[in-house]
Amino acid sequence: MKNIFLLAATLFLMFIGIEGAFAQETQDLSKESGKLQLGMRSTVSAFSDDGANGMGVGGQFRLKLGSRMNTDWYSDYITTDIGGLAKRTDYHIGWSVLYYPANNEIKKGKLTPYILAGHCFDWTDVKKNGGIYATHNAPQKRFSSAVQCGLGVHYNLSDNFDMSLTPQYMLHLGKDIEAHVFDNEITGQKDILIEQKDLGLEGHLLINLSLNVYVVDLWNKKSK
Amino acid sequence: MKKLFLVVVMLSAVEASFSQKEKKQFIHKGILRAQATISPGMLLKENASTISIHGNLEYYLADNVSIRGDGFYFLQVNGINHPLHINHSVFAGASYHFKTKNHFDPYFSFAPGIAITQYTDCYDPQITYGDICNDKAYINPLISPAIGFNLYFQRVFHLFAEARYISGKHLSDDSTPLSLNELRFSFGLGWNLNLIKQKK
Repeated sequence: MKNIFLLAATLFLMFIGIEGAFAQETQDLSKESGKLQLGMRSTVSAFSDDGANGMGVGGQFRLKLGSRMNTDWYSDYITTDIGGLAKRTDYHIGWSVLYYPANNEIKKGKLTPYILAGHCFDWTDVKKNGGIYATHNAPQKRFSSAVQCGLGVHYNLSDNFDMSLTPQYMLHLGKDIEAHVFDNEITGQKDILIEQKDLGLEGHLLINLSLNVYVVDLWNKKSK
Repeated sequence: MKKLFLVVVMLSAVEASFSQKEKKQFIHKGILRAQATISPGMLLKENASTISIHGNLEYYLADNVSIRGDGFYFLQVNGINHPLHINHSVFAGASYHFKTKNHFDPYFSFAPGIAITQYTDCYDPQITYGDICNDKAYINPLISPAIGFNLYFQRVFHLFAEARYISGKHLSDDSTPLSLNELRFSFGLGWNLNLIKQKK
């Protein structure tokens, strides 16, 4: 029930973002649309089912479609240490639509909050440490699709550079991989069981801190 | 301690001589700077010290912001624990430069990065794990804030000093996780060029 609510909220935010952006598009098409930014980002992954926090690195480019709308195309590589017993690796590639309730302009000193929603493809790989000696645990892998929504803020340190902080919740639509840490009664030590479940909804919170450079105006507009 | 005092006095003297001449910030949009040096480090959780070659290329996008790429080529590790055979790292990030009225350029930097790491077990003749000997290198994400300063001469050269904290974890399929949390220090002489002429 909780997951269905989250999915509905994601789709709703996505709809609001796209609808709002198109409504504004005609007003400011000549000014902000077409601006391309390139950036790097660090990601923290938290609140996943296994309870472990991961850390990632990635990159993105952004293409503005107006002063109220931006698109973010990204990829992330995230690794997670699950209790010192297993390693989870996530590869994300996806896109988001950013909607600015207040107009966004790439200009020094501007602080712009935004709502974000989007879609992502991901590959997840969970392996128990110990290589071929890892017992009763085959590595589990899955390909899935995900939706994400969140809130964020840009701060422009100069006319061509911004820092952005974005907490977003990503909900995976695919086979769930669960990793349970338990006390092994035979060895007397902590152990882990990695299982692939049936289709389901499973998610995690991603907190991105990104650095973005304004590169070029792709529409090559003349200033009026 | 005496040497450190001398360095500080020397830097202050150089800085003071520049500040006498002009009351304008030296750094500006269009500066390209590069440096290469030997960088000592401390692996904070492993009781070990490291030595790397540190190279950097930085471009000033504005008077207060620059983008930069840093590469560290791992040379060796010393200490009781010898946890890593390889610990190379690369970063791509940006620096915020505080406003000054002279050639002194203090900054704060943040950079996402990756480490290419390999566990040392295979290469230690005292340890023979046979088949589980881990000889693969792994790529692990890093986060790295840094603080430092540059002291620009009139042209071409500058002094730099930087302290960098690196946070990350070596995760592999075979060995147990290993913290990559490290403090690295860089100091030396760098080169700079003005790619955009300033209006007078």
